Amino acid sequence: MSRSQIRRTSATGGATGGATDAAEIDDSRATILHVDMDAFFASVELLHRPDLRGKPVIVGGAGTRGVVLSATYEARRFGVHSAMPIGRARRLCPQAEVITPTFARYATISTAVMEIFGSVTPYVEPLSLDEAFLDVSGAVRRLGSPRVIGQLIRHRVQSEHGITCSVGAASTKFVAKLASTQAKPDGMLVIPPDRVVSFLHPLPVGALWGVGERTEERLRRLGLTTVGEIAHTPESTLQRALGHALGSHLSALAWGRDARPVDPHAPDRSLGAEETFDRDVDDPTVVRRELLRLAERVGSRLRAHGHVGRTVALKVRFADFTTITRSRTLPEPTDVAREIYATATDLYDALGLQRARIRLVGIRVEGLLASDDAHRQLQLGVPEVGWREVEQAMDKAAARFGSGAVTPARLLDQNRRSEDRGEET
Amino acid sequence: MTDDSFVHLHVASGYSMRYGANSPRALVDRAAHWGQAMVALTDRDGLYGAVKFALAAREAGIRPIFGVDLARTAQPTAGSTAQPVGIRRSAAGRTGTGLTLADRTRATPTRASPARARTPARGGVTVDPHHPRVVLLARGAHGWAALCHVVSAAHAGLQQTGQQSGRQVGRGTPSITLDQIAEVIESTASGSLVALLGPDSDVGRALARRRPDLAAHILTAYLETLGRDNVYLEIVSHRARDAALAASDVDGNPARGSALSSAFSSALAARMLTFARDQRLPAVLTNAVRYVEPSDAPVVDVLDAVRRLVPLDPRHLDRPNAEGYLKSGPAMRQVAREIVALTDSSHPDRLVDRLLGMTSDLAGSVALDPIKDLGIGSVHVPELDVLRETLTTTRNGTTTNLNPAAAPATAAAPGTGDTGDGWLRGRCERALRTTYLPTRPKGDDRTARERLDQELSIISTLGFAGYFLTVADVVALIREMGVRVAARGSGAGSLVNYLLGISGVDPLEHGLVMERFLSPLRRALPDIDLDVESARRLEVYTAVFERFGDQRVTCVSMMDTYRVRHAIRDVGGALGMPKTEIDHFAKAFPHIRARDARNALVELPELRDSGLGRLAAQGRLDNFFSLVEALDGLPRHVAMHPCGLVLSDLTLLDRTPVEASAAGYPMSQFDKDDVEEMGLLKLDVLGIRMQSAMAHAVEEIARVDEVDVVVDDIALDDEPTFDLIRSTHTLGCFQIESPGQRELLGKFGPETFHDLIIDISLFRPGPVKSDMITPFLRSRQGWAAPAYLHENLRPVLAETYGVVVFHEQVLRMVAVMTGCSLAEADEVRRNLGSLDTQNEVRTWFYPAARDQGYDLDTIEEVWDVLRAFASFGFCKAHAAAFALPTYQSAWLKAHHPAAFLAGVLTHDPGMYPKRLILDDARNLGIAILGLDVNTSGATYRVERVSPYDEPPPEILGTPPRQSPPTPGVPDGRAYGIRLSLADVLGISEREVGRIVTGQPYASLTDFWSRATASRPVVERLVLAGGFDSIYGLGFSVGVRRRGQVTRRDLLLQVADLDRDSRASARATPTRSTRSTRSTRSTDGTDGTDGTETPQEPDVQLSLGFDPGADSLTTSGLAEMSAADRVRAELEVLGLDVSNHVLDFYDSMLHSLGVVRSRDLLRTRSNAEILIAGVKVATQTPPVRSGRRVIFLTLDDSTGPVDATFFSDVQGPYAATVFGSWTMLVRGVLRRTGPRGVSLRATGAWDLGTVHKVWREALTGSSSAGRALEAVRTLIASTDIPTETEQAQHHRVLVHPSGYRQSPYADVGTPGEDVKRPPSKLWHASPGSSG
Repeated sequence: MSRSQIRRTSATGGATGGATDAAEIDDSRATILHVDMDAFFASVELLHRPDLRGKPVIVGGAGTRGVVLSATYEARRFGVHSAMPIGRARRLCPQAEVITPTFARYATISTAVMEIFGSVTPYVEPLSLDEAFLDVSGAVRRLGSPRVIGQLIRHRVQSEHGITCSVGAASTKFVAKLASTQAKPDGMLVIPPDRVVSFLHPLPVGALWGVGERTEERLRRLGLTTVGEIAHTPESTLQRALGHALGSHLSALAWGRDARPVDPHAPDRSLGAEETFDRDVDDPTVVRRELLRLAERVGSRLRAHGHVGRTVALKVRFADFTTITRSRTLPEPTDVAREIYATATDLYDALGLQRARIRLVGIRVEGLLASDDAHRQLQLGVPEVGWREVEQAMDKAAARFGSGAVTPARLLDQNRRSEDRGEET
Repeated sequence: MTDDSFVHLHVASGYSMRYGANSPRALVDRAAHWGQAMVALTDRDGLYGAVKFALAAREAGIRPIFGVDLARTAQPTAGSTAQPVGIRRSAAGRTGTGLTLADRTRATPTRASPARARTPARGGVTVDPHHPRVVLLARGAHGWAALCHVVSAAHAGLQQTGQQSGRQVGRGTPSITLDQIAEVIESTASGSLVALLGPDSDVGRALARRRPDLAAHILTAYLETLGRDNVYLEIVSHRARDAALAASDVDGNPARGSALSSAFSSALAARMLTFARDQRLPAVLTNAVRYVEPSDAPVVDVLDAVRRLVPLDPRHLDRPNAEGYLKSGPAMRQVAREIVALTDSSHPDRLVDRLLGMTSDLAGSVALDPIKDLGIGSVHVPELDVLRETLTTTRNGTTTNLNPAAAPATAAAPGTGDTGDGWLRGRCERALRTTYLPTRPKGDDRTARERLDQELSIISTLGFAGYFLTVADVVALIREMGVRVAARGSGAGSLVNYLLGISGVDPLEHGLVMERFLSPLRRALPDIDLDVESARRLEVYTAVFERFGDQRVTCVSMMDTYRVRHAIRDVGGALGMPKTEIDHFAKAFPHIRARDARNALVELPELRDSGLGRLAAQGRLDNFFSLVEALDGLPRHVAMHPCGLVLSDLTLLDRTPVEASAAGYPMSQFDKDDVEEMGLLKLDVLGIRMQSAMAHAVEEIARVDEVDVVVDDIALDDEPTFDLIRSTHTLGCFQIESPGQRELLGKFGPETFHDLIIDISLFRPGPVKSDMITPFLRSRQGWAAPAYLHENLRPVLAETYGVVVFHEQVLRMVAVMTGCSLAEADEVRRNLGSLDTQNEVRTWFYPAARDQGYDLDTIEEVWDVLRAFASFGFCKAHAAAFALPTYQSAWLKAHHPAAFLAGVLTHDPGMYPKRLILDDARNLGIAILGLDVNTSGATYRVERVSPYDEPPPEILGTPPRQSPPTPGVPDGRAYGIRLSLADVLGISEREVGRIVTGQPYASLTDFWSRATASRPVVERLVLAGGFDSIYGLGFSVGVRRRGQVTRRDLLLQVADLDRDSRASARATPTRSTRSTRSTRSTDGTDGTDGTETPQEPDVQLSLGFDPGADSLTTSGLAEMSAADRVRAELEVLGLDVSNHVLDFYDSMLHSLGVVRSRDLLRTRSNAEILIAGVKVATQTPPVRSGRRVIFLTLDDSTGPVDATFFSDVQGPYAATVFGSWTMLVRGVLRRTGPRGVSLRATGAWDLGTVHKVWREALTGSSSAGRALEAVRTLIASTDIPTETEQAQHHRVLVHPSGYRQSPYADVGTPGEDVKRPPSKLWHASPGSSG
């Protein structure tokens, strides 16, 4: 609901790329930009399938499984949106073309787009393949006002890569992100500090960062449906209703207060990978094999980043989309896939599942440290050269011969995609 | 021996729940087709299909063999300490001693036995433990009894594990131990059971692991238990590969599927054959049949997955290929050859012959005669001495007035072998003398005596005296308990029933005949149904069980079979579709048969034009729907029949297997038809919610007005009651509240009880189909003279103006026309019901009538009427029995409207949602009193209020309660109805109990600490206004007093209290917290919603101190708006209490000129009008045209409005009618009678959508004219497709009477149940700000 309402407001509010009022608005302090590709995966696919332009296109898992990863605006008109099960999307929009994702393409274009950002400012904080925060305060002298910079970025992305993006500019990350959402598709919205309140307050509470369906419902019961109503409710009341932390968090956001800086080197707090099965799985053997694969992937990426982590978390999503996570903290931080795998399978076995149908499993390693900082205690009776060294050797082989050059035998028969699907950092 | 003589000894039908793919009849027919002389039915876990199998076999001329396929365990399954249901108590007491070594060292330990480490987080435990199985066949005279007992024993003790994981997955897995088998054999006869040990038995599994030593060991135990002559090895080959030997893992757990597949290999079969030879045991060849045709095999896969509640995956499937079908004799001989070829036999041909010979020899020795061995067709009623016992008890009871004749001392005392005739006669004559005749005019004496003599002689001829005595006994028992009871059905036609106190309608006074009920030409036990209060039905059951004992009484079961919605759910689940998708698919369909799924997708406009329909048209869903259709009609779940009780003598458990129902009652595995075939006395004790509603009303009248109403004593000629009925304001009344009935009442205008009987009978498929209503009404209103088919029929048809309405009239017509007896005439009536027998009747009827001197034209004319009537119409005796509660409920509504509607709201007997009943109450001037934790109870209660609202409504800005405008409708302004706690979403019975016990409460804190309801429930109580009276809230006065507490402040306080409780629970861990919420996020994206972590309370709170009392004033939250309140009420109670939902659309509806229900009668005929309202019912009744017609009932706060959608407008609008909750409907009005109107709909739109257009246009232009224009454009924009476009999709079902019916008539309609508002209904909410 929140999503659609935001969009509706944007249609009527109409503050997109028009330059008419550009002169009147003082945008000099709106130096945080949020850039978000429009229907990124779908737009990239359209580059290769120009015949599908103007038609409803959905990118997502093949067959009746999986979820919508991206959909063109033509498809969204039928109610299709990302994260929706493909089956439902097909029912809503039977005429849509469904395309299986080709992650390599997205990664290539993403890298190129991020390079454009980098040419504008060193302060780029990527959020995912298709969106990033930019702090352009240092570039204003060189390139012009944030509005000009935003238009420049939009222009370059479009002309160099043939896809469109939307830009929100504001003095905080939170407002910038909301602004880009409002500007979609292919638009730009600048919210200078003196307009933040009038921009925020008519929005539905769901627009606030941290308000999910449950919180939204709780707020609605209290008669709070807009950001403005939240803003004018005593903070203590919000805290009583929602708890201390969330209460003050929402109170601050409702007035546009968000102190987070754009941090190009935001240290990863955690690193993980997850996989949606092609079909719901209840076979423990299959699940364990997938856990091994995920552990290998997480381990190798930890080592690539030079991180070790202390806590291993297992995420299981069931067929009915309910999700549970279980985690365990290790005595020693690790970057060894074997250890991660052992912990994850322990956590999985402890669930005692017998015929539960699992849709997705994920492994995440939390509490990351630079591996140089973590000193590793030698354990008695354990050979000093162990799995860690084996895996480092595997990393080297992979670096030289491509990923998958060396892999656990159990994963050999798997005819797997090499893309890191559904992966997040 | 010829090739064809093979007999299948191991055959599963669909009655092996979620295992077999075909009906017993299909299997029998195939066996007959192959020329096989015998066939067995060995369903898993029960004899559910045995009677149907026996009947099919008899028709096909095949000898049936009965058996069962059971799981064998060493210990009885869960609950072994419990007294086994259905096992005679004497058989107990052999625990532990008989355990053999083999029992302890089972070949296949299962995962089920060792204590599980912990409960699985989600998805439940494995539901199909893979126990070894054994097939037991019944042999000889005691075989059937032994089989029944062994099945009962297998199910005994399962009720403890019942309702595992909350889904209908069956009640655990039945299993049998060798000890239990031994007990059964001991209590019947040795040799009465024969065991087949196949590849899936423990012996077979040992051999699969190449452990003949272990197999021999296990075998010894079987031989000891059953005797050497009664154990056979069962050789099966499905030609599976023998590859997966190692697949049984080291623990002996067979890796599912693969191990089983190898179990059906010829190699294993050969090893088993060799083993049999070594052990000098006979062996038989079977095919372990699960389906008739190889092409049915995929169905079996779905069933395997569904049974195990797992996705369709090779790991979970039992079959290696499609060989497990019912093969012909030659095909089986070929299988035998293949198996023998793998043995070391030196004379393979001879071995093949021997194997097949042993098979047919065994078959010959176990085939049973259903009549002789099962006792099909014989009658068994409780022993007379049991009745004598109970009658003595009755006499000693306090209320003996209903059994005035129960004086066994004076009646002839029954000796052994007595049929009870004398006793029955004694009781009837005494009742006739002492109570019946004194109230009748003198002349009736002889008629009554003659009638009684005639009835008694028929009863005596049939040997049914014990039956009548038994039923009379049960009725007396129920009355003694103070439970309302009424007999329904044709039994009201019998004077004996009236004299025994079974029925309350005097057959002589109403001209009812007995032959419709009991005829010397039929041996079947007559049917007497008893209606009791629904809320006390189980109490009645318990009493009957106590009086007659478990050995003589059992409930009847009911086989739930797959229809389209369940089939979609199960197939979708097996295919791993997301739950929400499955749900959407299932609810899109009306409740049709599964096999019609794809037809419906093409034929029904609401499906055809949906995304689902278009996907299906692209052929994307073919696999899915072919599986759905294949499940059609297969049994999926056995449940207790809602009303059937079987009463019999001590041999009951020899004749039917019994298992525990979910509620713990012993339940026969036979359904109501089977039970009748088996000659068991079935007594239907129906729970009627209206009886409970009336009982509640009477209690409320006594409590509030201190008047004792005896409903059964009310005179049947009360004028205000008929005024009410004629006003058609009959919502809530028994039988006469449906739209069609209200329309009929308006045209008919009943004036007497007899009119009511006719009215109820007219509103039945028969009269509707034969178009009897129109001529009847014309004659009735005096517009036309009654037409009689023949002068001789005038006496028969005069009461209904020449129109045939009652079965009794058909009987008399046939008798008059042909001169036959009434008993023969009833046979004729029954035979009119099917096309086959109809022609026979015709060839008899014409000459017979000719012989009586009727001319051909008359005969022709009469025949047409009779044929059209077919077996429909109504039995007058039944209608009379029905009319009684109808009249009684109308009487209560006319004289005590508040109490009556409180009863209706509490027990919900009708077809409409409660919110419509509430609205009806409002329209009678009754005050609706909101939920209140201090005054609301577990039921709806009546309170006396001032007839005029206090404070005066003008101050509150609401209209005052009006007296009802219509004459004849009672004025209820002196009363209010207080809402019930039981309707609060998610509240438990125990919570209601605690709340009521703790009343009154001084504050929310007080309530929190004493009522200890869960937090969500307390929050809902707050939201629905349950605390308004304590805090002086409840009026939406515009100005808010300073410091005034709001419901929202209370919500915050609940949060504080909850935090406090958690904190103190942490401090003192013994106090349990009451968190009922799961800590899982539902979509995974909401994980940042960090509210789950309990926070330390901001203020230290101590017990006794009302926390937050100070902060209540500073929360800064506004009170709920009127719209917020209604929304909360709908969410919490499912009722709109403070305002009608439609009130929020008032201004738009007014501008559009929407006509309200109360103004319809003042609208001129043929006008095109708009109506609007909340959907309260959709029906698709059968109509003459054979098209589907949708009847829609809306509620617009002034009463119900009914609209009819004919097939030509369904195309664009059906989806809206079924899918929306509030609607705007356009239609043409027609006046049909003094108080009757009907609306032919020409369009329907979702009211929320219309309102959105209206509001947007209004905000855009702020001109009402523009807004109106926008809505009119919307309404005009839908096209109605041309007739030809629709005509191509049109199937009809043709009935024997020649009547054509749409396949979609008379089934539940698509979409959600209208009884509760949809959960997400205010998506386009009006009234809410923004």
